[in-house]
Amino acid sequence: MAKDATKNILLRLDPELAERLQTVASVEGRSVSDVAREAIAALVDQRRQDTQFSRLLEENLSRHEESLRRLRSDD
Amino acid sequence: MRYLGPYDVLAVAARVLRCSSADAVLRTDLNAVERVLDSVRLTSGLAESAGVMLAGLVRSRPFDAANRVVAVAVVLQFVSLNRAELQLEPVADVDELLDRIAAGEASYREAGVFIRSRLEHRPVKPEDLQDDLRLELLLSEETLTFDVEQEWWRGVRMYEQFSDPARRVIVLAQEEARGFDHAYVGTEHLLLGLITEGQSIAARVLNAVGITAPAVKDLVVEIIGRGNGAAEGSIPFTPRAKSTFEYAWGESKARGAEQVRPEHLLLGVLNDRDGVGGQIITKLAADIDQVRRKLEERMTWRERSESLVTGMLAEGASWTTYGRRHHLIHELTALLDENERLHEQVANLRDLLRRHEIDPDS
Repeated sequence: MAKDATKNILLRLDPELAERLQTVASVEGRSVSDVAREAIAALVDQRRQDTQFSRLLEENLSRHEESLRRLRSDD
Repeated sequence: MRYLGPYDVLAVAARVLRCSSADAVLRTDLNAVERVLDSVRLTSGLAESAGVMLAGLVRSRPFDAANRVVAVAVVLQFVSLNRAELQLEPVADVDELLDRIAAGEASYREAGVFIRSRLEHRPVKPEDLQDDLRLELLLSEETLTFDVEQEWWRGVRMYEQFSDPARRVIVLAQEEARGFDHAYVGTEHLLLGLITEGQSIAARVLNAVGITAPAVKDLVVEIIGRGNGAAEGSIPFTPRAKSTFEYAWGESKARGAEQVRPEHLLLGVLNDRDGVGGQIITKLAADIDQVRRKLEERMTWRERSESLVTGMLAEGASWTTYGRRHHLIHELTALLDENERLHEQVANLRDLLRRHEIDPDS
């Protein structure tokens, strides 16, 4: 995939949310993509703060650390 | 099954790539992730779903660095959220599979078969079931219409009110369903759970009327047969089983009990005569009403004894410390159990006398 600093994102948004993003973007003078990215990042942050989710993730990464480190790179 | 959403995938990517959530959004092709997750949602079994996810993420390379590691970490997270563990060692085999997937030589099916061979399911615990049951009942709420009071207690509150023995019954019912390779937990499995739990009033009553685990198992095979394979992780409940929980909850409330106990669950199974559990009781005990009467009789003994104990403890509140009260409750509970056991023996002896045409009261 291209390693550009920014890129356009196409997300399937419900019309109400898309409209709200559009409003925020026009009020703040930013692009809709920019506002959408920020909103997505906030939702990802929320996920990372979920106790059960993050506990399982940390357990997985610590248990499989050595195996994951030895996986061949595909970069 | 718990499916992953794009935010879950991004959260794993951010952690593996050690970057902020905002960076993870920038460094991920969200459309590719969405496409893969859409394909996963079309699958059903955990191994197949994980295979589609792994193959999709490896082929479409949505992450701008360490794509393979992030893809595997996402699959590990998906599998563990569904109460299973994926073994990565020997890792050389995983690499070989991923190489073949990337080259288009291995399909998602092959990935699924590989994952199945490396998958270990964690035993289901009562706390896992609490989440499942809550989720299932909430899903039912979405499709059915209930009045306000029912909505208040259904799902969210119900399982939290189950006593530890009642939760054990449900865990055992899951194990029984798995033993038959059934893809659901029905009232017949709940009945078996009640019998194998063994300690409750419900178990004793069932034992007293001759409803034993081997006899019930034979009838389950006769009526339903064996299944084609239990679901991975926790097994869903049938609508009848859920109605049994609701009935049990209603009975516990009506009787002023603080928790739903195994005996309330048995009342639920007895109430649903058309359910497989009810049919089995009718076949084995001949008179299902007699079983209910016996159970209610024992429950009344227990309620009376408990209220006596509560009264005694309240009277002694001024002279007893917390430690002594705790010890007393333990001792009195043991005494109540022994009392019930003696009651049962006396009842059995009276039955025996009657069968030999001797009046037990003469």
